[in-house]
Amino acid sequence: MFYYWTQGLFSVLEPYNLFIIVIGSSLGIMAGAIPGISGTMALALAVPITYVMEPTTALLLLVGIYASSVYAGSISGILFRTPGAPEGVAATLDGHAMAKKGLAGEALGVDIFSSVTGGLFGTLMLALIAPQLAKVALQFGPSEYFALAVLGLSVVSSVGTRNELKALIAVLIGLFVATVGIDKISGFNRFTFGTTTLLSGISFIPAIIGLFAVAEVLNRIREMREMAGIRAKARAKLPSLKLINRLKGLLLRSASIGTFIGILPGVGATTGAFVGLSEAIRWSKHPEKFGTGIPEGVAAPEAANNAAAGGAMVPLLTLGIPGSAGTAIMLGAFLIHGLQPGPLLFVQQPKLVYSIFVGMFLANLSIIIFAKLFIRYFSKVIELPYNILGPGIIIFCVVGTFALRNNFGDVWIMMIFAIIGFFMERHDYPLAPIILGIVLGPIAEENLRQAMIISDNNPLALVSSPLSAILIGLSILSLFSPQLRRLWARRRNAKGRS
Amino acid sequence: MVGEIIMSLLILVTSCYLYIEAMRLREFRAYAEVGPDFWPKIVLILLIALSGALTVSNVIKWRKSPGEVRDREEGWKRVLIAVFLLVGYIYVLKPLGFIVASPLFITGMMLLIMPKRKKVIPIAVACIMAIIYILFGRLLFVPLPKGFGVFHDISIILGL
Repeated sequence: MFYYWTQGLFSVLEPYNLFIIVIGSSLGIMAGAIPGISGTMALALAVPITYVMEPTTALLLLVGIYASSVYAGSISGILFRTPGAPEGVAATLDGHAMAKKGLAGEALGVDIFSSVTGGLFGTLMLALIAPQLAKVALQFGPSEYFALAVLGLSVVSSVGTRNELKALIAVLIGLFVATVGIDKISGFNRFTFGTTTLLSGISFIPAIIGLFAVAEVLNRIREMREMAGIRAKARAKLPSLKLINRLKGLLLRSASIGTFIGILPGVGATTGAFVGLSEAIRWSKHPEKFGTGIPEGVAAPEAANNAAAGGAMVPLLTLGIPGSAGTAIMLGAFLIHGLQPGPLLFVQQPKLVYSIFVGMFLANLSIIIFAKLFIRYFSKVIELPYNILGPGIIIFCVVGTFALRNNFGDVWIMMIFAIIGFFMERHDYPLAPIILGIVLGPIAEENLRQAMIISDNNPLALVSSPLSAILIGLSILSLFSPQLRRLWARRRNAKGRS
Repeated sequence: MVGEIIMSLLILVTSCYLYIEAMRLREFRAYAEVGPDFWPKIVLILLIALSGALTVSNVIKWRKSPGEVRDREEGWKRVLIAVFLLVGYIYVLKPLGFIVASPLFITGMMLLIMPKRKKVIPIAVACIMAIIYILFGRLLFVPLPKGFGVFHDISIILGL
């Protein structure tokens, strides 16, 4: 174990890799902070750049963007009440209230400190849990993998969404998209409609770029939300030792909650932030002060969402199942470089795995330096008008998608997904479940069919092992959890009234 | 609400059509009961059931609030033009090449988003083109489309 840690450290400390982490962290902070470019979009845009890189370097770039963009979503939320990314919404309530009191610097300082603490905690948990879980996962068979994929899909469609029916429809659309192309088991064409472009299936990267980048630009063009006229001059002030002492229990609790939520397949940093905040309010002696501008209201969600980012890497690395849209894109990057995340990755590519752990530690630590620098020049960056940024992003998307295989078919697929994504988002269909459906679809289908063939078409084989039975049970429970929660709340209200 | 109904109805109709397509895959079920049609059919049946339920619930909601009118925003026109520009750009990218098609697209989009800020267009076009060309063409060695005929010659003269 120590040997792999040292190998990972030496790999990351190579000047080029270190430079790439710095670039990744800076890009992540910028992308997360600027409304209109989310961390997910930045990851999608960065994937084409990684084509020519070594796998370790490519993944370090993505890890840098991933870890730092979660933090940066709250910067514009604190300063302008317009979070740069959904992960920053929970911290906006108290953060902006602090800024209005003239404590913007303090709020940004607490934000940085909590994010770094949460991020380091999440990464530490990732490094401790992932190798152990990978050892267990080596024993998994087709029925367990099928059950895991179903659990991931059921959680993503039931947790953290406003409309479960629409989230389920989005998951199913993703699952269907994954069936297009040559069937790997029988070798027959499915839903290709005679076109050669679709023979190799709908490539994951054009779908991501279309859904998360181009669709977002179209949305912004429709709404024309502008940040014009906003000027902010704030400098982050890191919290005093006295304040750190006051926040330490809350930070530890929020980071633990965030890590746990991140590990659950399909539940991302945004849910982590809200659960972290609601638990902080529940445990507080002065819950009424939340929302009025107190450091606890910034520290709790920020520690939780950054820890969740580390936690979400656990199912990706150990099981090959992404925990969020961001990690789904990382899965795509692994596949592009010929790597299959999962338990075997720890056996075949230990150096790469430990490089990712070290890279995440460094990316989180670098937030302290780059965030302070970035905030100083933030007002200049945010002044970049959207009539330059929007077309720039689209050109980047078109060329980036073309670069995947030098194929115009991929660009058309990206375009179709952009239109689908635009209309779906417009009508409140979440987009992340589509991506998870595309990613988890082949895992679910192949393992289901393998399990059925092995068991001579006995469907009970899917729940024959205790683990797969538990996972399927959990899937059903999570699928109906919103209804159960509503029923529970109704009963409690009825009891309260009587 | 009308948009919601159209959206769920579109998913329902598409799913039904794709289910019919999936039925054709049955003939390929040669050596196993669980053939290539098995999984898509499960997915499409669920999709038909859920989009059907959503359509019904949307229609009920719409009937309860018949006064609601469809929003006719200016933004929709902008999106339609943007999609038109993007489709046109992808369509002409191969024959015209990156160096000719991209400035036209960027100019069109900039005029669409902020028609009053015309002065920055040439600088913005030059900056975007330079960034994309250096990043993809020079650093990542992506063979950017050169176009056909005279456009190919232009791309070569400009060093693409």
